[in-house]
Amino acid sequence: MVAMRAFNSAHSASGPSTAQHVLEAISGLRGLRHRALLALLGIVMGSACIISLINIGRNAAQEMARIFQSMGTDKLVVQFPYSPQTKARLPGSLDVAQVLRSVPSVTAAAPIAVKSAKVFRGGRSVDVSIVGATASFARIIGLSVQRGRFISPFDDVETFAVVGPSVARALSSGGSTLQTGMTLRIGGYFFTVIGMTDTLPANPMLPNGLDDSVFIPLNSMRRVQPGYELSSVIAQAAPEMDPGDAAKDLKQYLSALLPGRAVEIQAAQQLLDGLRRQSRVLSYLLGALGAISLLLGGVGVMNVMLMSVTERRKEIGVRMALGARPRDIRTLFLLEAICLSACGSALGAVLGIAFAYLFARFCDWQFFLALDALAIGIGSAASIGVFFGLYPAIAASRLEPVTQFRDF
Amino acid sequence: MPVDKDVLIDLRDASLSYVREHQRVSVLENLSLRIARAETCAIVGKSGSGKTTLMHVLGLLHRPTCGTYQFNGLQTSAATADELASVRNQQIGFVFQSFHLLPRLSALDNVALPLFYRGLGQRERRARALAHLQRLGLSDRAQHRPAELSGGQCQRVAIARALVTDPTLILADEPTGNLDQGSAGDILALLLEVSRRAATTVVIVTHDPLIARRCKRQFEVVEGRLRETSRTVDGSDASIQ
Repeated sequence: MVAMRAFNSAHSASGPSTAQHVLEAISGLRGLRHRALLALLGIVMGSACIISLINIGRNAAQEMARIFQSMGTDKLVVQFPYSPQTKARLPGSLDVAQVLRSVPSVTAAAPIAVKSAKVFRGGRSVDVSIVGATASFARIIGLSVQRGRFISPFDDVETFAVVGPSVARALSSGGSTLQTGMTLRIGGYFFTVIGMTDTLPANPMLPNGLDDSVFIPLNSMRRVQPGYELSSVIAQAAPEMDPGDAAKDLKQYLSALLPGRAVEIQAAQQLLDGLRRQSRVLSYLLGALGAISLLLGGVGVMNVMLMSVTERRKEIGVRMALGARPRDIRTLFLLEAICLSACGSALGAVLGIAFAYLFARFCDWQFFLALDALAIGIGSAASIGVFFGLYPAIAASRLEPVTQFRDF
Repeated sequence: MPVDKDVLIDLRDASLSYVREHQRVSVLENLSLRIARAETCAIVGKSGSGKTTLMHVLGLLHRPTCGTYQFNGLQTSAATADELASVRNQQIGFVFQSFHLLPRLSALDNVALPLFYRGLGQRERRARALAHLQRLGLSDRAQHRPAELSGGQCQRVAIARALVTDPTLILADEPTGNLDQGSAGDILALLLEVSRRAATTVVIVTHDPLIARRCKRQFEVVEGRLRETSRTVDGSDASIQ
C-alpha cells in the first residue's frame, strides 16, 4: 500500500510536461483537418475585424486631431446663417478693436468676406474663392507664406492679392511661373500679386479649401463685389479662457451689434470633442462587430471540439486505459482549442493590420499601429478559444474510460 | 485479513450491473477471483457472457457495483481516478480485441504513448518503443500508421504497447483472434515467455481452447458467473471441478 502511494506520487510529479502536452495537442489538431480550418476561419475573421476596425478608428481619430491641431483648438468661427426671418443686411466689416475691448475673453478676431470669382492672367483663367481678409487672418489660422508677404494692416484698399498654391500652379504655364509683382485680373480690376501661401491641410471648420483661394485686403472687396457682406469672423479665445465660454461671450456681443441676424459660433474644441465622441462611437460599433464574429468563431471552436470529443471517444478511452488521468485528457483538448484560437488570432492579427494599413493608405492618412487594438484583438480571440474550449475539454475528461469501448 | 504478498488480483463477491431503460441489467454476478503473481490465466466464454467486462474490471477501467477488488494491495474502491490512472499506466498492459491503436500516430508513437503519460521525454519514449517493436520483429514498420499495417502487424504493435511499460499484469482480449494459427502460436509463446521471465501475470480472454489449454489456470464465464475449469500444477493437468 505504501509502495503504491509512492508510486502514485512519483507518477503525478513526473506527469507529461507542458511542452509534451502542447506537441500532443498539435498532432491532435492535424487530425481534425478541414473542420479545424473552418473554426480557424471564424477566429481569424473575428480577430482581424477587431484589430483592423479598432486600428482604423484610432487612425481616423488621430487624423482628425492632427488636422485640428494644425490650427489650434482655441479658434472660434462665427457665421451668420441666412433665413427669411433673419434677412437684415450685414456690414462689410467689423471694428475689431471695439470687439476685442468689449469681449475680453477673445484676443484676436478677423472678419472675412468670401466670393466665388474668375481670375485671369494672360490667356489663362481659373475659378477661385476670393477671400477678403485682414492681416490677423493668416496669424489666427496659422497660414504661412512661402514667397512674398501676406496682407498687412496698411494695405487697406490696395489692389494686392495673395494666391493659394493651387491657384499659383493653375495660373503658371510652361515657361512663365506666377511670380510676385505680376498682375491678375479679377472682375474689372487688376491686382498685383504680393505673395503666395503655403499649403494648409483641409480643415472642416473653414468652408473652402484655402489652397484654391486668392486673398485680397477686406476693404478691396468692394472692387470685386460692390455692397459685399461679411461672411464670417475667425476669432481666437484668450489663452486662459475656455473656448466655449469665449464663444458665448462673443455671440452675445455680436447678436447685440447685429440685430436681425442670427449669429452662430463654432468652437474648434467643441467640434473636436464631437468628432472624438463620434469616432469613439464608431470604434465601439466596429468593435462590437468584431466581437460578434469572434463569438461566432468561438462557437465554431466549441462545435469542432465537441465533435472531436465525440469522434474520438475511442481514443479518449484508449488514452485513459494507457494511464491518462482525467486532467491529462482535459489538458489535451483544452490545448487543442488554445492552439486553434492562437493560430487563428495570429493570422487574424496579420490580416487585420494589413487591412487597416491599406485603408489608411486609401484614405491618405498617416498609418500607425494601435498596440492596444492588437492586444485586444489577440487577447480576446485567444481567450474566446479557451472559454469555448473549456467545456468540451471538461466533458472529455469526465468520460468513463470503459464506456468508450461499448461500441466495439 | 492478511494480505498475501503473492496475490496480485483479489476480487471478492463482485457484481456489476447497469440500468438501461429503467431495467437493471446484470453483467457480472457475485464473482470471486484470486490470481497470484506470474500466473497465466485464460478466461473463456461465449460472446456476451461478460468476459470482456470482467477484463475491464480487472484492468481498473470499470469499478464493480458491489463487492471489493484489491489490486496489488490497493483497495480500488477507495482509490481516486488519478490513482487508478496511475496504476493502469505503471502496472497494467492492455491488449484490446480490436487493437485500439490511434490512427493518426505511427506504430512507434502508438507504442510510446503509455510512456507519455509517465512523463518521459520523447527521445526516451521512442527509444524504448523501438526496442519493443524490434523484439516483435516490426522495427522496419516503426514509421507506418496503423492503416498501413496488416491485422497481424497491428496486433503485434498493440502487444508492444502493452509490454513497453514492463507491467505487472497483462490483460489481453482475444490477442490472437485476428491471426492465423502460426502467428497466434508465436504471440502466445511471447506472452508466456514474458510471464516466465519477468514474473508478469497474464490474463488472456479467448474462445480458443488450444490457447486456453496452454495457460496455467482456465476459467469459464457463463452468464456473468465464473468458474475455474482447470488448474495445471507443475506441468500436469489437474482438474478441480
